[in-house]
Amino acid sequence: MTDRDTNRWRGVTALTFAAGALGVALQEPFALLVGVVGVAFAAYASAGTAPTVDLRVERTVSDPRPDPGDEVTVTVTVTSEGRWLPDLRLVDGVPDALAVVDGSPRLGTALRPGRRAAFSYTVRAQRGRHAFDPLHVVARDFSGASEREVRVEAAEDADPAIVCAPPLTTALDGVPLRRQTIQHTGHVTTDVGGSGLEFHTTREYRPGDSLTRIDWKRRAKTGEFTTIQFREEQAAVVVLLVDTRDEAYVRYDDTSAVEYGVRGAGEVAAALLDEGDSVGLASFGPHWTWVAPGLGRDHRLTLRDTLALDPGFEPTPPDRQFLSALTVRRLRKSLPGDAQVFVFSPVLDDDIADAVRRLEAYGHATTLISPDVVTGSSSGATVARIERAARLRSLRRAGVRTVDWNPDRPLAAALADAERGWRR
Amino acid sequence: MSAITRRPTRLGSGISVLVAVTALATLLAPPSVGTLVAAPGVALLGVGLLRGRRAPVTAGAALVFVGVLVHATTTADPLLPLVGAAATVVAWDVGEHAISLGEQLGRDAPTRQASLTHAAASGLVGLATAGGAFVVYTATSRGQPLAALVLLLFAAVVLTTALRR
Repeated sequence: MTDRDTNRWRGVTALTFAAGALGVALQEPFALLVGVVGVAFAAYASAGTAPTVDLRVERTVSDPRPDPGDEVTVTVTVTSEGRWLPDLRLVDGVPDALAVVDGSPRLGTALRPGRRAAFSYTVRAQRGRHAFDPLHVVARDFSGASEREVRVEAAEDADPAIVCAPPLTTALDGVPLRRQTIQHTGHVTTDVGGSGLEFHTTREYRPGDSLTRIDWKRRAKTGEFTTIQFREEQAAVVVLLVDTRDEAYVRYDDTSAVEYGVRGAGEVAAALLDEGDSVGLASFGPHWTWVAPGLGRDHRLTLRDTLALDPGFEPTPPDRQFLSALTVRRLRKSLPGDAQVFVFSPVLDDDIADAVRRLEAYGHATTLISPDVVTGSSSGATVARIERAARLRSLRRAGVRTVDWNPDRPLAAALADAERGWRR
Repeated sequence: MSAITRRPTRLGSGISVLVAVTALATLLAPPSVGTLVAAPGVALLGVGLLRGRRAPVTAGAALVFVGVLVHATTTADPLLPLVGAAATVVAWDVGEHAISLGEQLGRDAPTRQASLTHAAASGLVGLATAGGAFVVYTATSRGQPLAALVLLLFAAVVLTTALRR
């Protein structure tokens, strides 16, 4: 709470002096009489004191759980529970990540005791949990000579947050995974014969082979027992790592690279879960967030909520310090030995390139999906573009699969293009 | 629509200019040198409100006030100059208030209630001052020298102010 003199009436006594001077000099009593006006307003200005602000603030939102891009109307009602507030200026604490698209989150009003005033505005919903900041209040007295500035929290039962958690959906028709060895049925095809769907080879029957895999036609024809081998399909363990460091909050088309990363991770997660792969999630940023790989509907919900709402994936840049080495160490400790890693990062600095290279070197097959968010034709942008291309090249040489993703195009198209490159 | 239009509120600016014109109107019967001084003051105040600048508003109001004073030396009746002076101060007050509302809340925010309340309070004080001064003047002007009476008024107001602190 701050009390201030606005000093707006500072010059008003000068009027009295001017009137007095003129009146005395010209011996004109009426001019002197006019000077009374100056004195009266000076008295008016010094009569008031900064008003006591006793407000009850209630906030309602039209939809507390919108989808991204939906418009949400926020209505703020203030009730004066104390004295008369003749000049009340209110600015609502709109969450940082939400843009006001219609109306104004501000109100100038006057409130008699017990009266209420309301204003509303519309914001466009974005992924994340958005709590409102306190209402910023400036109250002046009648003359406006003194003012009090306070922040008022909305009443506890009337302070909803906007929670926007988009469902995990995907436009991807499968995700190209790297080869690996692990013993779960799934969708990484291997060159190992065994149980599966696709024919691989036949071999001599060995005791213990499943009856369903015996080639009964050949048995009928020749009398030998042979066993059919199918191409073994394995489930992959994939951990999605989203770059959420300050460096990744670079905007492209009004959306940050972190946002593209989170969307990409959501798509990949949905596609992999649909295929029966086990999917984990981690945040490469100052808020360490880790979801161990898993399967199933509950896990899908966990992933969805973590991606949308966890502080590790916040839509606004973090204000904490980030320690790259510590995070890589934590990540190594948490990653299952056979896990593949999908990294989502704009790769605008060497730290992340280093981290990716190390993951690959530690034996985690790593795929980098990099939204290309560098725009503009300034020399800075050109340098950033050249450096980024060099980093991607060097990662490719180190064995990392890279996908250069232009965010204007769907991820599916970028993946398809990249896959063509890997096959060559 | 992310940027705020930080311009003075329309209502406050309108009232301010209207009151300033009223102040000018009190100097028209009959016009004097004071009217000539005050007229550009009103224009300056209007320009200041269009631009959202305080300095021209204050300078314009000061000019009108000087005009009122000069005009007061030419009239036989103090009522109109008193009203003109009060209206000048009210015009400045409402105008400055409109600018500050515009700065803090922007033109898109609803500010009607704040503008109206402020203008009403300011107007009441102006009317009471002009009226009160005129009543005291007419009631007591026979006999006493006017200068003594005015100084007495000053003293009374200053004393009340000092006591309130």
